[in-house]
Amino acid sequence: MQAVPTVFIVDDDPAVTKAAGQLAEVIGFKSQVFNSAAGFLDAYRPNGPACLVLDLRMPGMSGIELQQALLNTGKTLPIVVMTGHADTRLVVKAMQLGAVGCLEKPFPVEDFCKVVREAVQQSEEAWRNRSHGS
Amino acid sequence: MSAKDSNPATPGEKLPRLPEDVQRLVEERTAELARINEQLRKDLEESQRANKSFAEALERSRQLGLETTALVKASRAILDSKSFEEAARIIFDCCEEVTGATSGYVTLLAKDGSRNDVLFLDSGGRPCEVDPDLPAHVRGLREVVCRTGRTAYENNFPASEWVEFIPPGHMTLDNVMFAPLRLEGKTVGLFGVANKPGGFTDRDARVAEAFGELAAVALRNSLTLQALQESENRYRSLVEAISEWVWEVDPGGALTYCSPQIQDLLGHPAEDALGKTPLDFMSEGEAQRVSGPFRDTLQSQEPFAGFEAVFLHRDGQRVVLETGGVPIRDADGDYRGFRCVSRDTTQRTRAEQREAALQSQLAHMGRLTTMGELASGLAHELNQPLAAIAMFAAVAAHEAKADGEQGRQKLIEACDDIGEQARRAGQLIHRMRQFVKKIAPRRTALNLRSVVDEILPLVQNDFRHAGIPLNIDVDRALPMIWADKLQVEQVLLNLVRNGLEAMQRTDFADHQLSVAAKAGEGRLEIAVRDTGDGIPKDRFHDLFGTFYTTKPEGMGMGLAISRSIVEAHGGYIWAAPNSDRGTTFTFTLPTADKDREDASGTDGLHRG
Repeated sequence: MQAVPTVFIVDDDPAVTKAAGQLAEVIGFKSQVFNSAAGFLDAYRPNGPACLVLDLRMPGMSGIELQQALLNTGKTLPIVVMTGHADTRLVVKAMQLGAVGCLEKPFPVEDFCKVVREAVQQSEEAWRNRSHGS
Repeated sequence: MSAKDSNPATPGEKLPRLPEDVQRLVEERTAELARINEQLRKDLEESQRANKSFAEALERSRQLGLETTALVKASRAILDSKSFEEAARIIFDCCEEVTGATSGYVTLLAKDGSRNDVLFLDSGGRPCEVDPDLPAHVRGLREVVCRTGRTAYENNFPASEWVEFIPPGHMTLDNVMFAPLRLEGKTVGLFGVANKPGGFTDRDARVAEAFGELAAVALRNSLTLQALQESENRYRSLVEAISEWVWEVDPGGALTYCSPQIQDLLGHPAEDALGKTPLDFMSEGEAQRVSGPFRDTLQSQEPFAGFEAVFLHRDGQRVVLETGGVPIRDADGDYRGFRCVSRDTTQRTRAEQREAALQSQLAHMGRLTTMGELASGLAHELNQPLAAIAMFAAVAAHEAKADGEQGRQKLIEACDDIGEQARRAGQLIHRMRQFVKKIAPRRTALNLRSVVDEILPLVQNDFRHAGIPLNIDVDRALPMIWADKLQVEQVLLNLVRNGLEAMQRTDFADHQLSVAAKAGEGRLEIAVRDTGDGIPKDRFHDLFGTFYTTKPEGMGMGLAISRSIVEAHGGYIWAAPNSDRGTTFTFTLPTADKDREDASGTDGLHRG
C-alpha cells in the first residue's frame, strides 16, 4: 500500500498553516506546516508523494526564493502558491518557476482541495514514474 | 535923587572925604561885595553847566534805553520770526526808530555780488517811482559799504559824489546811511536808512551797525533753517519714497518717528503708531520672544541688522519684517534712541514657509504613503484570517459529521479557531478603516512642468551646495498628467535626491542630474538621470523593495514609496544603468485625456 501523501504548508501566518494543515488532513493527506520558507528548506527530505502549498509574500526568504532554492537543489515537488494580493507579476513568476496551481486568499475551500489533490496526483505520478524507472 | 546921586563914586569928582577908617571900611565892603558877586556869578555858571549836563545825561540815558529796548526787540524778532523777511522788517523798524531816519530799505546781495535785491522799502511817505522789485546795482556808497564792510553815512547827499548814482524818479534823499549785513566775513546785504532830520551821527552809525549785525544773525538763522528744512525734506522724501519702513524709538522703546510705510505694511496710520512700541504690532507670543532682544539692543546702543520678527497687519495677516538699526545721538553725543529700517520679507519668508510647508506636506505624504502601503498590507493580512476561517469551517463541518469524543473536541477547537480568526479580521478592518480615512488621494490634471517647478526650490540649494548642475528638460507643452500632485512631487523628490546622493558618493567633476520627460501613448515618461556611483547589478531586482522586506532607511524606503505611488497611478517605474556612468530611473504616469474616465475606478482601497 502506498504511503499517504504529505501536504507541506509554508506561510508566515500560523492561523493559515494550522487551518490548511487540518483541511489537508480532512481530505485525506498528512500535513506538515512551516512558518518560514527557510524552515521548510532545511527540513524537507523528499521521501514520497507530496505537495507544497506556499505563500509567496513572506518576510525573509520569499516564496519565489524558496522555489528557486528547491530548483537549485533538485528537490522538486508540485507547488501550489498562495498570494494575498492580486499580485500578478509574482504569480506569473511563480508559474514560470513551475508552480502547478495558484490560490488567491481568501480562496474557496473547494478550490484549495481541488488544487491540492491535483498537485498530490502529479507527485504520485512522478513517484510512480521514478519507481518504474528504477 | 539925581543921576549924580546914584553915582557917588564917579572918579575925578571931589567927594567929601570920609574919615580914613570909614573910607577903608567902605573899600573893604566894596571888595567883599565884588567877591561875593563874582562868586555868585561863578555859582550860577556852575549851576547852569550842571543843569545842562544833567539834561544831556538824561537824554543820553533815554536814548540808551531806547536803543536797548530796540535791540532787545530786534533780538527777539530773530527768535520769534518765521522768516528772514519778517525778522528783517522788525529789525529795520527798530533801526529806523532808534536812529530817527524816516525812510530806508533792506537789500540782499545777489550771489554773484553784482546787484542788490530789495527785500522791502520804506519810502517814509516820499514819492518814489523806482520799482522796488527791480534789482539795484551795487555802486556808489553802497558799493563802498559792501566792499569795506563798515557802516557809512552821508549827511549832505544832494551835494555828494554819490548823487549821480541815483536813478531818475528815485525819492529825494537828504542824507543816507548804510550798514552792512555780514555773514562769515562777507557782506551779503545792506541796511539802508535815510532822511534823518538833522543828519546822522557816529552814534547812529554804531547803532545801525549793531542792527545790521542782528539782521545778519537773523539771515544766518533763516538760511540754516532753510538748509535744515531742505535736508529734512530730502530725507523725508527719501524715506517716504523707499519701500522700507523707517522708524525711530526713544531709549525706552516708544516710537518717536514713523514713516508712512507703516500704513501699507501694517495697516496703521503713522501718527497712531507714535508713542507705541514696535512690540505693540506683534502677536503676544512674538512680542514676548522679541521683547528680550529689543530691550537688550536698546540698552547696548549698538547697531544691529537682519533681525526678523513677525508683525501683525491690522487685518490679522502675518507680516515678516527684517530690521536693522543704528543708535541716535544728539549733538552732545547723548543717546536718544534708535533709528531703524524695516523691510518686508514676508514674500521671501512666505516662499520659505511654503517650502517648509511643502516639505512637511511631503514628509506627511511619505507617512501617508507608508500608511497606504500598510493599509494595503492590512488588506492582505485580512485575507489570512478569511482564508483560515474558510478552512477551519470546512474542518469543523467535517468533524461535525464524525462521531465520538475526538471529533467533538476537534469541532470545538475548529470553532474556537474560527472565532479567533474572525476577531483578528475585525481588528484588521478597524485599523484599516482608520488608515483609509487619511489617505484618499486627489487626482487632477497636472502640468508636469509645474510640478517639477514646485519641487525645484526644495532641491536647488542642495545642488548648488554640491556644485552639481540640475538640468530640467520638461516641456510645458507636454500633455497634462492625471495624478495626485503631492504624490508625484514625492516621487520626483525621491528620485532627484537619490540621484544627488549617488553623485555625492563619487568624486567626478562633471556630475550632472537631468530630469527629462517625453510623451508616450496615453502616458508621460519621466526620466531622472544621474552620473553617480550606479547600482550593483545584483541589486537591481530588489531596488524597489517589497512590502514584507524590512526596508532600510533612505533610498530603499523612498524607492518603495515611489513604486507604490507610480503603480497606484497605473504607471511603471524602473531603473537602468547608464552606458557611461550612473543610473537612470524612469517612471510613467497616465495623461489626463486618456485616463480620466477610468481613473475613478482605479483607486481601489484608497476610495475607502
